[in-house]
Amino acid sequence: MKRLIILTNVILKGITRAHAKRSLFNDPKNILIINLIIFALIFFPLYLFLSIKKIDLFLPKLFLNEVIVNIPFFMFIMFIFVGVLLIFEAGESIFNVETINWVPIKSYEYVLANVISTMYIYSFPSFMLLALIIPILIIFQLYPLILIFIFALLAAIFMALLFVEIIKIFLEISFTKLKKLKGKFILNLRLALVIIVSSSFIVFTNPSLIQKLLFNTKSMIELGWFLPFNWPSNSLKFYIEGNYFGTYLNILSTIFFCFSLLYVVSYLRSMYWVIEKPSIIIEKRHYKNILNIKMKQNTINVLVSKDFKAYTRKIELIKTYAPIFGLIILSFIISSSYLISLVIPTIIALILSTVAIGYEGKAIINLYYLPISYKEFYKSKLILIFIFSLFLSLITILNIYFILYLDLFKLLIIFYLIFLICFLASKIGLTIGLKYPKFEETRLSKMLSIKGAYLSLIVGGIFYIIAILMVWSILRLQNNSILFLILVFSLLYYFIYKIFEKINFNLSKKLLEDISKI
Amino acid sequence: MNNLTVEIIDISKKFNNNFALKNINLQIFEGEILGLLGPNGSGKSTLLKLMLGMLKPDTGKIIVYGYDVTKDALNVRKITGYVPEDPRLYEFLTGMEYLDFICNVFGVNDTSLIYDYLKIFDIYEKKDEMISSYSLGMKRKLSIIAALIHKPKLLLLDEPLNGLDPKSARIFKDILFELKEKTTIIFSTHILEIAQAICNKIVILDKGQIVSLGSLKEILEIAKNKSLEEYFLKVTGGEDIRSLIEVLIK
Repeated sequence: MKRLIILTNVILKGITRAHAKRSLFNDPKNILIINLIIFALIFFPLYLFLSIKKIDLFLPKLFLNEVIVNIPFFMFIMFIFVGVLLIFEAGESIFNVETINWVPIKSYEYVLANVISTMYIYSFPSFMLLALIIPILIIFQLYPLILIFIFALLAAIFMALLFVEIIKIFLEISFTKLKKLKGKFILNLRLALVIIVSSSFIVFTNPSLIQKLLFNTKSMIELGWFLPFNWPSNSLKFYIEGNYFGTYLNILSTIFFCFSLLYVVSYLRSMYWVIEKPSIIIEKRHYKNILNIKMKQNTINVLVSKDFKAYTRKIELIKTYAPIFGLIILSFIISSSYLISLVIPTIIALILSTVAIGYEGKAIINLYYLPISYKEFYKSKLILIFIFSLFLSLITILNIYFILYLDLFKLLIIFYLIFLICFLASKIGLTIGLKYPKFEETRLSKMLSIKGAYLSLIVGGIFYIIAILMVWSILRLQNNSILFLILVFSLLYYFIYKIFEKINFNLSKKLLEDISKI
Repeated sequence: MNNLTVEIIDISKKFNNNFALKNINLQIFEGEILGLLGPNGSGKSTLLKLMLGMLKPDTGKIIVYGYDVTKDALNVRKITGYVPEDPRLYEFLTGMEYLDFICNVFGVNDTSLIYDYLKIFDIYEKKDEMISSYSLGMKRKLSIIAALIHKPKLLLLDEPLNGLDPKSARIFKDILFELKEKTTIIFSTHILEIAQAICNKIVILDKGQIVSLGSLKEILEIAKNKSLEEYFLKVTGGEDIRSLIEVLIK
């Protein structure tokens, strides 16, 4: 027990300190204090409000049947996503078994410490839910339901995180076993996994989708009564229906399943207590000419190729842009207005370009001793953001087409404008990235300084408004006026583009001329 | 006399108002292997970085093969191979891809040499693995190959033998001996035996200043019956180390 507490504490400190140096969240205790304060701030006013205001009797029934019952199931799904994201986040951190497998700690202690620390770190949604639901249950004097709800919520999260541990072990095994296959497969698998998990997280945490899910999961729970992750929800459902035998049966089954799962996970972990470090093998194909001599590539092309490899292989960078796919999916499935679509070529373009410098990390030192001029360095980044801009603009115009069904003329005009806005936003993003880079290579915030991050948000907002105004104008103006608008905008664009071109050249020169500045 | 290849003229560099290097004057000739010796923080790495234009001097200038480093660092880098003290490589590339990247940047067309070097340094089998899975020694070897692959005129080596296994260290020393006829080699180390075995000219730096300069023979003559280690300790203020140890043990 003592070892478990110590290990949990170490993991907690490892996570909080890695994520927030010198901040309020540095100390794990503060997370609990903040959660309790927020709990109190929601709980007491809500309780007072509900005690004063009379509530229609219809509401609790709907609330109990449609919302409370589904919450444990929903939390199970959510924590699976959170856990999987954490696996990708973990890297060489304290989460890794190699950092701990040489000390006298048992595998179940390691598994439990991981689960408990993740539950603790991400306890905020649970506290929020309890603060919102307990006052309602008190008002309707459903005291036993409070206890069952707390149990179901914790059991669902616990179960989810144990499943995550299984996923983690299997990923470790597969990455190690599959290493004999050529690495491009592994790299693409990893890329796809991170994008799928991150974008699914974005999609499934969207409020309108949550609302739809909450009202539709009831039938899923009823149909899948035999699946263990439905049992916490079932215990609530049976209690509300007055079937106490069903309630106890589901509670006991849940407890039994949690212990069994813990045993299985610990057993699996003990089998893979010392894991072979995965190494990704990528065989390079050489296309040589008749003299068996490799043709030299232009330095800019070489740098662009290196950047693309980083964007598909560097896990911190993939994690930065993977959620963008979620936003793109959302813009296609729930958007009924071009307002959401325009986030893609403005704010997203800016995010992608601001990290294009900081992602280099400590390896940027290579650029200081290799014969690469600041012009070549800057031009390579410009090509990179040009390709990003083209890609984002194409997605946006496709999205707008499905929303507005415009004629070809207006569609082409909007595409032209969106591309200009996107490329300019990216260029200014590059300016911010050059001015405020951070080479700590861990997360988004570490590739850009805080000042740069705030600035990019402001600039992104401005570009977003400009994009809305431009599209709005084109939708309303006559063709002649549109052409005039395009002309004015193109001239303005050219002028601003040239100014930032100069600024960026100077910033690139400044960045690469003296290593003591980084 | 051989040609003058590197000329350091009255170089000074400050960090946070502290002198990292103060009034350094040095001439290095073709065919010389210059050993930069000095305790930690004596300014060895700073001097190498200044020679490559990675840092800007506060005063003075450095001429490398006729190029003023401050004004024309790019041309200096084109003819220089550099092994940093802490090799920071692009970890998302494989060893082979990194060397390919280096060859392209330096305009090396014949890449067959890459395979030879990889075999010599015993990392051929690992060439297609991502650098993130390399050990420190393997990264160091890759960094050494990257510095040698384009056949530089000037080699700047910052503690290059750190983390190398004895076999690779021996191979590297042999390569340096082979290269010295056509390459100027500047080698920073704090391991005196290595300097004694490899270098034909030695500079001892302490607190950013040159405290001793000359060929190994000249320095040993100045040392008068003392070993290089004893002389080094004397000029860098470490001579009273024995009395300090005695005090500590008591």
